[in-house]
Amino acid sequence: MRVLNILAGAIAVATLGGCSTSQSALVPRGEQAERINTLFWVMTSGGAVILVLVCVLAAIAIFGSASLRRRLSGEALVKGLGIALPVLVLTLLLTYGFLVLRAGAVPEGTQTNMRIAVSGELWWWRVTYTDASGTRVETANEIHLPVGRPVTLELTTADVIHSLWAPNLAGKLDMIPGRTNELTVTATEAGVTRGQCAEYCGGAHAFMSFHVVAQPPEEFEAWLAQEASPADPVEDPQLLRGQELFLNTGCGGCHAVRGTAATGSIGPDLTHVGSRRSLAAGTLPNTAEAIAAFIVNNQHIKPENKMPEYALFSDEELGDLSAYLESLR
Amino acid sequence: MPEDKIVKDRRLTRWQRIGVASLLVLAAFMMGGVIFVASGVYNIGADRDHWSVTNLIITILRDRSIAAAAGDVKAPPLDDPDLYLLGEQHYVGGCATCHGTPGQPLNPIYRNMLPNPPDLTGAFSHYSAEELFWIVKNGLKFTGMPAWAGEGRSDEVWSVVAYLKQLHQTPLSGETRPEPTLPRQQEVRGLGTLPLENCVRCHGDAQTGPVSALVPTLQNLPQAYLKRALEEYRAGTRPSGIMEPVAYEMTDAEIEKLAEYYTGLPVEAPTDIAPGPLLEQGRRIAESGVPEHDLPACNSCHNGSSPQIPTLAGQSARYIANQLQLWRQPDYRDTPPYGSLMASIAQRVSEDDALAVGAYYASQPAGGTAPP
Repeated sequence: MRVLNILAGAIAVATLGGCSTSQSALVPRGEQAERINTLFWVMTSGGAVILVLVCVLAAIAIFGSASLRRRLSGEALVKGLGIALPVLVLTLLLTYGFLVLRAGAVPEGTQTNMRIAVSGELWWWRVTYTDASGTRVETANEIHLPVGRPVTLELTTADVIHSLWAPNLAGKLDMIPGRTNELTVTATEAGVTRGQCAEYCGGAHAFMSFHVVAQPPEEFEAWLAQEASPADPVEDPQLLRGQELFLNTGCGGCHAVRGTAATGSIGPDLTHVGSRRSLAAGTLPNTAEAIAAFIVNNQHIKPENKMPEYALFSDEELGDLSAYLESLR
Repeated sequence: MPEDKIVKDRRLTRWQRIGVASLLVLAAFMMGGVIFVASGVYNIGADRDHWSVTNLIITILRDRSIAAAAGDVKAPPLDDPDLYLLGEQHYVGGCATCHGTPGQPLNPIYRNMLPNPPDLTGAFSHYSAEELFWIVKNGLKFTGMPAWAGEGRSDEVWSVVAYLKQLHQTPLSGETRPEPTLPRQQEVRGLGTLPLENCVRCHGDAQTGPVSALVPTLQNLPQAYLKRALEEYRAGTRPSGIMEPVAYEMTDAEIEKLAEYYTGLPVEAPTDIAPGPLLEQGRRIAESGVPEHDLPACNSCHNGSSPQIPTLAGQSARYIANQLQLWRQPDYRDTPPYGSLMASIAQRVSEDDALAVGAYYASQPAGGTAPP
């Protein structure tokens, strides 16, 4: 029996170890997540010590000799381990928690940090950067961060309460209507991790994910410059046909492609949609086929999202349109 | 001994005896009813009226049913020329076949229906507007009165009720309405006169504008769109109790020619609307939408670049606002892909915005392509 239990425990640990590290609070890739990780292990180890202590005392109470049991029943033990110890442990833990998480402290450099506005919308993330020249650059469903530099995320919502949670980076923070919550994060390691909405926000809540792309500062600057640039003019006849469809059939009423007449601000900015890591907030892979599927069938893929189904294109037109969007890199 | 037994068996209480007797009477009636129905004695022929008792029961049943069902109907203002003039034309095209010209004797064929279609001049003295709405919308069983053809088109039903109200209020001069004038050139094009007459009656032509502001001006719309609209009406996918029966009669060639004919007419001049905050609001919605309500700019689709998407410039404000209102009704289902797409967008247009955007487009000259 005991062997079996140990085996089950070992399997559980192995399975947990197999969990993807791209969305895990136990694999910190940011300073804030590291603190949470430290606190987690301190609490878990402390809890384990206390559990062992309780088990030992329980064993003594059941199997121990009469003299040991008599000592256990004394009032001193109840006062010591039952009252004094919890008060001490909990006070220490609380203080330690406050200190580690720097509760109430204004994060250093909040005024001077780079700021990225992230707005939760049904059901995607509007991410707006402000580059060195003060130009606002809008993109969606991806938060790019320069490694080693603290960045303040300004969290707002366009509709209901959402919650931004990138576990590898920091704890979750709600996005509340009428408020701007600030979350300062510092990526410590380059790489792509994943986050998602952590507050139920309606039917397609589960399809509201994003990627966090931590890049070395130079790479980040290059990326931001590319993101800030308008879409390249298209020349290929197929892409031209796709662009014409995009501009003539109303796509530009909701979506912007900077550098063209499409200036809509209701849905995600598509200026460089082809370069993103996913489509529809982590719902689909970013391929021309997936783009075509979403245009025609989006209410099935992501029910009740605000985009109407565009079933008015022929197969050929749909191919042109999705090829055009995929080419926007 | 046997006698004793019989006496014992028949010892029923008074109520039991009454019960048995009632059952026997009921059974007799039911038997009688079955024999009556199965024997064929009742004359079902329309040449003989019902027995007066049958008539009495049917009349009570009908009027009680109508009154009960119309209880939660709410009438819009009916003294509205846009409503009753459209209703009159639908009466001519739809109702007059059976109900005849008001104030004049019925065609003998329909006079011999039972019940024969009543002269509707007096409809308003028997029923309220709400009750008439219910009758026109739902029809009446066993009378030949059909339910309204376009599902979710209560707006059209009200136009007929408004016309019936006019009939009741304005005594007939004995003079019938002027016949619509038909453009002569159409005969040269070899198009039958009936389909064209059906169009011109409401939508007008080069000489006269539409009969009501609730009716679109066809010459301001693209040909491919007109063709598609008629095909959708004919297929019954785009609901309209007025347009579906008209389109039902059309052949592909007629649809083609009618669309071509109307697109060939000179466009109607825009409505003169004084500039003001309403027009400004409408212009803003048309050009930039209302992003905070997730409403894209109307011009992002309605910009004249796709022949399947109607241009709105020069269209009547009321027609535009009424269409937007229709799409917001839960019982109105428009055709995919275009109508259903517009239906999802129209959910985001408030009533005020609909009026503003209607006024804006009405004030714009048709033919000029609005910037995207």
